[in-house]
Amino acid sequence: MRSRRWRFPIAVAAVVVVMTLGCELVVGLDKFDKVDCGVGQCGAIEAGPDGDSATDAPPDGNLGDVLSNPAKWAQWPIPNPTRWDAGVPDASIQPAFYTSDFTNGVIKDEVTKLVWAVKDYHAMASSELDAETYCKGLKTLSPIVWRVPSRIELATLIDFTAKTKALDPAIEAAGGVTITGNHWTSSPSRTTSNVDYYWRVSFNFGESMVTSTTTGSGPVLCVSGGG
Amino acid sequence: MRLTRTLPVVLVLTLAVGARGDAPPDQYFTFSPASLIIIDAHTTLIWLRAPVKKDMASPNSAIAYVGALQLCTNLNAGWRLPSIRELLSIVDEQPHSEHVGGKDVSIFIDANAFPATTPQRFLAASPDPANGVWWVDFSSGAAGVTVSNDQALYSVRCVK
Repeated sequence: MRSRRWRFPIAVAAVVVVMTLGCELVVGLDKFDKVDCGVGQCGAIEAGPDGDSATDAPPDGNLGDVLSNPAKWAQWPIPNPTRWDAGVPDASIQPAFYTSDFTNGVIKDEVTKLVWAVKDYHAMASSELDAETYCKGLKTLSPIVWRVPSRIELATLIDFTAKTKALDPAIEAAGGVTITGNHWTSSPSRTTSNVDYYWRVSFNFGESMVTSTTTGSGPVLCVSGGG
Repeated sequence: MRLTRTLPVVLVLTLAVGARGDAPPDQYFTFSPASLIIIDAHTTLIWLRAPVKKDMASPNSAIAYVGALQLCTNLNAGWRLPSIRELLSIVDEQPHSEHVGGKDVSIFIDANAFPATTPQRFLAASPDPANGVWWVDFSSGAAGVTVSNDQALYSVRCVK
């Protein structure tokens, strides 16, 4: 009889202890540094691997290594196509607008401040390294330094309101080129240890896939600026 | 008090939480675990952290799409479906693993910021839904457009 009377309080105590210890995990308190949280300091503390080898990119120096080659996140407002009128309040849309420099064949996104070397569009870069070499070697608007865009940078051009191609016609017009194919980005796939897996962006047929693919030649649209 | 029933549930709940994310420390403004919204400091977009809908059949018909669109607009206060570009801005290129539906799946989002993200296609604004519904699949990070009803399930996350 005595043991049965204590069973309930012990059970409650056990649950309380487990809940207290587990509460930190449940509410994510273990993710917070023990310092005051300033603006932007407490969100997403883990900017790098957490030591869990199953999900961390292998630290073997390949391009997917988070520490040496962190992913690029959007650093600017997202410009939305100006023809987008899906019945939403205008104030909540950030309309895109571009400035075209026909002389040099470049176009500048005035929202992201990214500048695209459209005239220097290179249709057959055999690898991401080849694409990087090509962009670095461009002399357009020298001494601007050109590079292969990251996944999210190139994704800012996906135009879901365009009819024949998911790209604002002004972009091709700025350089007098046809933009087609799976474009190289500088963003490596971090789900495989193969250094040749990169995110690609396609604007064909009104459909754009952002997906990792193996090596294979593809076009590159060089970019500069941003932020 | 059914100890044998309660403790395993509590333990499973506590051990199940191990989500991680890779957004830079300055990507999102300070939020607490209980925050309903999160603000991206760079894109200035305000997101509802939890999906407003999941396991939705393909909204390729105009009628079904309007219904999906209204999930956000019915919240008023300016909530809407995100554009494909906006959805891509919250893709985490370094996925983390979660145990969903009895198996381990990769989820391409910062789970500290967006803890309840289903490994499904998330719907994006689509001007011509009968001919193409845009989505970002957070089980792969891929974006695309589907032109006909398919077997995929969709979730909705609102933004403003």
